[in-house]
Amino acid sequence: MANKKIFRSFSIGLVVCWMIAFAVIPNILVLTASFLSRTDSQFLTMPLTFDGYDQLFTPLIAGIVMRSLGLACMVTVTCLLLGYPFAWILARAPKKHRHLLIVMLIIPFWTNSLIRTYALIAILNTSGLLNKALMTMGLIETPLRILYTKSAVLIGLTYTLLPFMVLPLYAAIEKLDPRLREAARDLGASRLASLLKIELPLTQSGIIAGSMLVFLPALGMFYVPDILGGAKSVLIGNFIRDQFMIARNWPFGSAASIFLTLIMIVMLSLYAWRTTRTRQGGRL
Amino acid sequence: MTPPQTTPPCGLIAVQSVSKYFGEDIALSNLDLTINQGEFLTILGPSGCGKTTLLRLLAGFEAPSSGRITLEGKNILGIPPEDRPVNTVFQSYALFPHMTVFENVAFGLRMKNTPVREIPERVTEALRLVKLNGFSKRHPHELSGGQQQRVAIARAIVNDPLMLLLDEPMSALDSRLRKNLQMELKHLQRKLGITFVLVTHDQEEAFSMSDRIVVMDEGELMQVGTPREIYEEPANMFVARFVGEINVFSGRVINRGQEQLNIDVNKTVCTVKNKGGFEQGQKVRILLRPEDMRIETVRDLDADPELRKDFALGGYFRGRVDETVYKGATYDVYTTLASGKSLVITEFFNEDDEDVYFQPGDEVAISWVQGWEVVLPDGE
Amino acid sequence: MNTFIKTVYAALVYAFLYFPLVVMGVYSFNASKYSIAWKGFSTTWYLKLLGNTQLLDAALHSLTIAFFSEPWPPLSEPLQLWPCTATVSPGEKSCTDSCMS
Repeated sequence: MANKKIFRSFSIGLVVCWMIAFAVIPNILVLTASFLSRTDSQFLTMPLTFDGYDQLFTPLIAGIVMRSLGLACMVTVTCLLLGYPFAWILARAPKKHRHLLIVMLIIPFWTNSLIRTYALIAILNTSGLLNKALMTMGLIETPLRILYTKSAVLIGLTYTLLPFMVLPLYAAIEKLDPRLREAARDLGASRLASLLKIELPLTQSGIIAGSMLVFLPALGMFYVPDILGGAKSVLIGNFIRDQFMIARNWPFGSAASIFLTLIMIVMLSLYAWRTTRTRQGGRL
Repeated sequence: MTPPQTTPPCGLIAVQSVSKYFGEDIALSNLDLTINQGEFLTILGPSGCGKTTLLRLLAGFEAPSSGRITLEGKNILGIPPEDRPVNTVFQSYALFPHMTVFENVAFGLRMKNTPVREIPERVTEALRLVKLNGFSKRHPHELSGGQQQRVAIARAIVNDPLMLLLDEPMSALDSRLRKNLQMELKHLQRKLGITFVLVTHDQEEAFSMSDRIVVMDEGELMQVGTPREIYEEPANMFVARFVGEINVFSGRVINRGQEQLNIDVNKTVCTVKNKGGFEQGQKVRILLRPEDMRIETVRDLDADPELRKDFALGGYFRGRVDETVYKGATYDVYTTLASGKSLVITEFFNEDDEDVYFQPGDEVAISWVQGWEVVLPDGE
Repeated sequence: MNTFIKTVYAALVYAFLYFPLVVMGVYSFNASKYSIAWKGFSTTWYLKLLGNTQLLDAALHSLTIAFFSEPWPPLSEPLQLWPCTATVSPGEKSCTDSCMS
């Protein structure tokens, strides 16, 4: 009995220490850094100042933030549109196939996403495989410029984040009682009406969870836009990275990080508020 | 084999030579059935007999592999469930968890674009009929099983369907609740005049509610008739065994008279009513329900010659009482004959003698009420 | 819903997910150094990989980091890229340069 308690305290204690060391403290450091100054020879130095945040409120940054939010939204919507039917097919597949299908979904995820992103270059290039295929099929005459545009970033992010959307959707759809669709039809609902009035509302939790898991990383990821978007595409993630690695303006970078974190906190709070509200409103 | 059916006064649904296969699996095999307008029909059978499949064919969730189904004379093949004037009460109720009771019941009306001002009135009326007034604002998970079932019923009847299909609606309820609901369902059906088709494996349920019963086994119709016909005149061994208890005697026809048959059952000659269709020398089975049988102790028979003569008229068997089981209103006497055969006899309490009369070990004579027996050919 | 449509859709999505991997795999055997054009089957790159101690060291670093990093890979990427920002002397190639050569 006592052993159980010790084990439990130890495990929880270990995780808490870990979280403090690697999550809480770094965040505090970043928060502190955002209020410090910089000089040519030192990354961070006293005195405390609001300089970091001052530099944040410019039209330039506003543009970057808007672009990032917009892109993250587009990625989320694309993943949702692609992922919902896919998750549905998975959830309604014969039981013996289901596990295999899910494992097949996750395997690409095991490979390094950096490498996969580089592979996309070979595909999306003007002389790349996609253009070659389209031209041989006669669908286009001149190669499409996809690489180093916003479209490439969209494709790359969707590609990387799709499994994050599919899995929560799958979980939600699997819990959905197939009899409900039959009941709806029995009462006169067309397939579309059944989808809109019964199935989508009841898988809402999955949709929201999946969207969160795609939207938030899409905001912060910098390596995909870096590789596929070229130098022109500056999003929040790249911007922060640039401040730390290239411009060596750590206070500014920290301030931007905090700003990004705040956006994420707002989104997560909305999510939490929404899910508790629906849970009270009826079992979902 | 197509069992004899009573001529329908007004056929609503005609199931004609319908078969249904799922791959290699034969779910329904060449069914012919007519469902009458305004009747309460129960499809009774063990699990896997195809009763739910038949229901789903009527609802439109499956299509027959062959044969056809007509509604009011028109073939309904290809008409999807949403377009059929038929509603279903599902076994698991299938209430929409994210909607209130009101919204659940109103769903069908909304789907059919009923004028908005009519909806509250009709929903309230439906809820009143199932005795759930005041429950409009609740959610399904706040209701008990019995209440959920009523919502499911209300949700179906509010649409004024031509036919209501119920798939083992009471399987999840305890027996007291079940009995109450059975009565209510019967009254509701009478009141609304809607044709009800109920599917169940519970014989008692079928008997207490139905105008007619369809007994099924392994995708085939075993018998169609009123509860009384099913119970007192089973058309085959399956129906005889499935519905209630039965005692079976195997024998051979010795001779055939105008009114009577003499059958040799293990050296005992039984005289039964000749209802036709048997040849001399044919192997037959005599079926007797426990309550059709008569039992007297040898002691009593020896003491009363009149009783003995009357008792021995059609033939009788000798045996010994194994035990008696008290059932409340009746008691069952389990006996073993000299031949080794076991029988069950149900006796009602005699107002003169309130005690259980037969004791284990008693020597008894067993006979039956003349004319109550059923004779079937022994083809199995 | 038509089973055929379902199968086709699922297959397309899987193709989308796996295609870059296949491409990578195939091109790792491409004899050509720079272009996409296929110059013939070759295992030179694998041999070069085994001989490149700097890359192998980096791989070991990555493994170690992955072992200790948070469960969410996207957040751990920055940690993995950290070594590449280390200042290098003019003669040495940085690890990203090695990857490209």
